[in-house]
Amino acid sequence: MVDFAATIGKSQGSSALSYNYNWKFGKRSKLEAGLGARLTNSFGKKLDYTTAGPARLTRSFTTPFLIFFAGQETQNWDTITVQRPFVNALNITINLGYHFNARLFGGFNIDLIGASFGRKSSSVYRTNGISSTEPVTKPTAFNVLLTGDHDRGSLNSEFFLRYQINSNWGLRAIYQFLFTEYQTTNIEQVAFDGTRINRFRNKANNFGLGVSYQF
Amino acid sequence: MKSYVIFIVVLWVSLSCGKSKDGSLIDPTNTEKDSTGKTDPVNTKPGTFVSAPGETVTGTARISETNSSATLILENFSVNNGPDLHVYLAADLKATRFIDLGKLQKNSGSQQYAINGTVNFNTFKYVLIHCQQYNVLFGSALIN
Repeated sequence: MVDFAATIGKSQGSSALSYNYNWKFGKRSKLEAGLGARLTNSFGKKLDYTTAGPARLTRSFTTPFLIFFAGQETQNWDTITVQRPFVNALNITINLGYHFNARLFGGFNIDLIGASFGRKSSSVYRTNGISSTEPVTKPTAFNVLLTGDHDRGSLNSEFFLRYQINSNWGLRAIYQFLFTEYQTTNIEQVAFDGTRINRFRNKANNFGLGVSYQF
Repeated sequence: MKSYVIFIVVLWVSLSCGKSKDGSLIDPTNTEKDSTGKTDPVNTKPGTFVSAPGETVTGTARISETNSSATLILENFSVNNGPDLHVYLAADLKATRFIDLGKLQKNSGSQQYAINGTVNFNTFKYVLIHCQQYNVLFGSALIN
């Protein structure tokens, strides 16, 4: 299945082109799981990116998966405002879904691992009211899903409902949770324990539409 | 199977709970970290703007400070059009450390910008007209 999706959120948007192959499970083949590849382009203007880990500094506990429920240690966060972000992330995805009936399918997908490239941009680094200009901020090159603030790079995930128009074409309504990550090259955040940090992350909740074609 | 679907939904909701927050470390009422403690109000002599290559900025900048507040005053000011022009109080011409006083109010004419917090004008001695989006300096004035 090939799918194209577009989402929009506050001061940003994204588009994604993906190819997915799912296997059916269960007695009535209602459950699907599979893998895919997805190219996500995200763009925006003056987006804020906050300290992207290490998790021991940004979360109250760091147990993988359970980290979703950890408190956010915002006192250890700094912010960069990337002036003209544009990130392309090519990732392998995992897909899960369920056929509610012949036409309606609910699903979830998330990027697992891949690479990012994109536009370098200046950014403004802010800490405690003082700003600094970072001339060169660039997308983090390597993406990997490690859960919560253990993650690296730019990762897309979707929760969606697909309505099958006919045997080939389907329309999707999408709720997207999108991580994008930029790295500074000259300026580093120095945490209270001396850890030097140059990765900053934007987390966006977007809504959008998609169209799918089943071969 | 239902429990499997519920698990996926719970996982998704958990992911979404990690939604970003604004950088809450920034306290707009305390924009200067210099802790030297300044007591005397500052009223600087006007500094004349110098244009960066390819740009045209004219006019003067000065600081007027009372015991309770400080204000940057631009007089006889003019700058050519540019995108996303901001007014900085900066430690150098490259804006490696600066206080953003906000977007330029207008391209010509006198204007004032409130300066929050206690600022050491010996450190932040330049007024910059700076295109933030493309990181381009338009002009600068030395106010020290």
